[in-house]
Amino acid sequence: MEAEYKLDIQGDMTIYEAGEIRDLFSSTLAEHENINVNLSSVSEIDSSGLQLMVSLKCDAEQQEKNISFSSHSQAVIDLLDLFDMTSYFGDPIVIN
Amino acid sequence: MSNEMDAAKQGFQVEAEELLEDMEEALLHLENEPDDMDSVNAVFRAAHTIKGTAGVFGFDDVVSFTHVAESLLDKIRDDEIKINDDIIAVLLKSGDHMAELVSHVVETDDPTPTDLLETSSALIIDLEKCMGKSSAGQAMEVTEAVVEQVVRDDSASSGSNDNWHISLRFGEEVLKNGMDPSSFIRYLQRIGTIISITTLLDKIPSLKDIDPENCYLGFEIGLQSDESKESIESVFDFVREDCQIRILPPNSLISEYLDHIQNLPEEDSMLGEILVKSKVLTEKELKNALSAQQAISTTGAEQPLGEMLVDAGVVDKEVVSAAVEKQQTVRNKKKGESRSVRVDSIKLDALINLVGELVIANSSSYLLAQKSENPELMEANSITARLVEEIRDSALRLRMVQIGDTFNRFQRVVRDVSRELGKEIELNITGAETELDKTVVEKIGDPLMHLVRNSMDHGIELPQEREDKSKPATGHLELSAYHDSGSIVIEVRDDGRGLDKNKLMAKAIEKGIIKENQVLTDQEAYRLIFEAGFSTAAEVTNLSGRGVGMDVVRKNIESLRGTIDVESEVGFGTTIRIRLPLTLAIIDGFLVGVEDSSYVIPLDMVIECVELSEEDRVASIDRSYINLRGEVLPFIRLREMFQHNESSVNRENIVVVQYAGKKAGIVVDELHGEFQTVIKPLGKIFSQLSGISGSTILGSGDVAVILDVAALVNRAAESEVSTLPSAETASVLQLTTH
Repeated sequence: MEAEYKLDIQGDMTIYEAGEIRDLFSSTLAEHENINVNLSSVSEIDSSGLQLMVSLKCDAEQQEKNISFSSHSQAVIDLLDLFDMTSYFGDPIVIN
Repeated sequence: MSNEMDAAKQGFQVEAEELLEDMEEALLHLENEPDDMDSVNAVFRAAHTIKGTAGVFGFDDVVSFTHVAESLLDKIRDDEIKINDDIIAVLLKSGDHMAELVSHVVETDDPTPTDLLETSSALIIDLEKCMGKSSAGQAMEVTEAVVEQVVRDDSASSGSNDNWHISLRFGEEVLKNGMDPSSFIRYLQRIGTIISITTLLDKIPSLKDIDPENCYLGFEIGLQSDESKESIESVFDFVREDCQIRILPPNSLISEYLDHIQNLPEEDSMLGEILVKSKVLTEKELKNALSAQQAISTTGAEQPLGEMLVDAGVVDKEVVSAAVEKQQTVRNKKKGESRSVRVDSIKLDALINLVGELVIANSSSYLLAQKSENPELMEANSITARLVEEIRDSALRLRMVQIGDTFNRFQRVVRDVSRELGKEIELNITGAETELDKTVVEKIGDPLMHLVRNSMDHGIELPQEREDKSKPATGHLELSAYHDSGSIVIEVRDDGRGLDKNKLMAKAIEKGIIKENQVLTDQEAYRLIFEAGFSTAAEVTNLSGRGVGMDVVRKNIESLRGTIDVESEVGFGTTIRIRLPLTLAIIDGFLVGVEDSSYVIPLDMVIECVELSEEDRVASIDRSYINLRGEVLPFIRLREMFQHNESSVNRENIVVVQYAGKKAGIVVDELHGEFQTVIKPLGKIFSQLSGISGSTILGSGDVAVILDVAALVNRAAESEVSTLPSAETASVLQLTTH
């Protein structure tokens, strides 16, 4: 099994970036087995960003690949909290 | 997209301003009639709508503040709290503050400055005090309402189905339209406590199929809130078309939940679980209802589930019918309100410009028709002319607004200022329905404000002082408007101490405005208050006397082609009279000719035309007045004024005009009759010319000058005075003044 691949999201995850991020997610998922998405630099996230996270997670699970999200930024934490989805992802979240 | 957003924000601001105006009016009304439920409802609606719209935009500071005001109003509406002067005062201040908050959030994206937030919290404390007065229990509720935004009430102690259940399936286009589901959820947090939320993700396709700009989310939300169904629904106003929204009120029929479960695309069992999780149903209730339904379908009984549940005492029938009735009345009210259309004023201006061109084009074809001497053409033309005239009138009427709204703003000003000054002042408004051009209305607000404040500050005395003079302790201020010969007159009248001519003169001499031995008529002396650098108040209060004085008022009025004059009687009060042209665009004119030139006199000011008799013509060589049926009528000759060649005509006519109660004659060669006049403003170069107010284009293409009757009348009166021995001056002025 290959070592964990770290994917850093640079910038926001809003509808403006959604297309780019979809491409980034698909290419990463195609090439790697073990993926960790670092969300520390996500200063803004909206529903479209969240949908892509869900989509990536579902796809990975279907292909029996490992996916995790880490270093959630405050914006991500707030949105997951709002939608009560923290447990859905099941990733450890550091509460500041 | 950001443009749309800006436009939406602008719309919000305009709407908020209107609502706040209504709110203020209703509050002032409540001061006199505290039992008027309609006004309470109006105030509540205003606060409520502002909160709702602000919430959708995510203007949290507006929402959190407005929420508290709304809670108070709700209690008043439910008769839990009796409205009194203190509450009205706090609510008035809150209204002002809302206006400030709204304009801040609309104009900039910056966070709300701390001073605004401080005012917010200070007012919130006041509002809570108002609520606290009624009973301890309500005070508790209030604090809860405020705290609920910060701390989630996890205990959810209320009964199992005390919560609203909201089911949302957002449409795919929602994100593209600039809305984010998260902002709606956030807003729900403002109006209540979200007990549970389940985000439905099963519609989200895999990465290769997903359109990243589509929205695939759905939510099932349990909400604890005291809001009405209508107000929860209004949260979703902006997305209603794109989305499936279902809102089940607390204590809904269990059948409705079942119905809801069956109507949604997700599997029944899954939704059942969600509902149980949302605490709208207990597991037992769900099971019982489902099995009961099954039992019925097996026995084949016709009784619908809903009725069965009512029979079983699960739901109160009256509650349901009351709710239906209430929604009905709200709907009826809405219908009545939407009778007017908001139109961009630029579009109106464009229309009026076009109508102006149409008038000119029409008069030129009329001229041609006359020349052709073809009777059918002439008739057809005169029909067109009549229609054009009607179009012109209705186009101009579109711009006309009632002055009432402007006047009503002063209710509040008078109330506030009189309290501040410790005076008792009552404002009376007459002629609120008088209409005038919108641009004039907009520009008249500030000068009026100044005059009103001035009257209250300097004119009306303190109650004690008034009683000493055996006047009623309450001072009266009157704002009135009426039409008078082509202009609109606005009066600000007070019954205060009046202007003292001697004091005014002394002050003017001290300030170097007039010379010591100068003799002024009463009128001239009163007009001194409009001179720059003149202020009569011995001490400068923070109301008037701030340097921007009455001279600015006069300049503003004059820039609207208006005039201002003063009447006063010491001890009895002062009347300030503003006279403004009705419209700034098109007038009915009276066309006259001197030699080859044409002049237009505004028709509204023309009283009559008479021939200048031979006798008068001879006499008028060395005096400029005639005897008109025993009245002295000063006149001017346009021929002399505009320096045409010496008279070679045999006949002259005199047009008698009236302005501001004064009559004068204008001597011309020919009378051409009525003429629709589109006013074309004169270039800057001519702005200093007196006696001319504009120009217009005749059907023949020639230019005609529009005479400024006000200036001409004054000039005629002046020249008359100067040719007479001073002893007679007074009597002449008296004769010509009506």
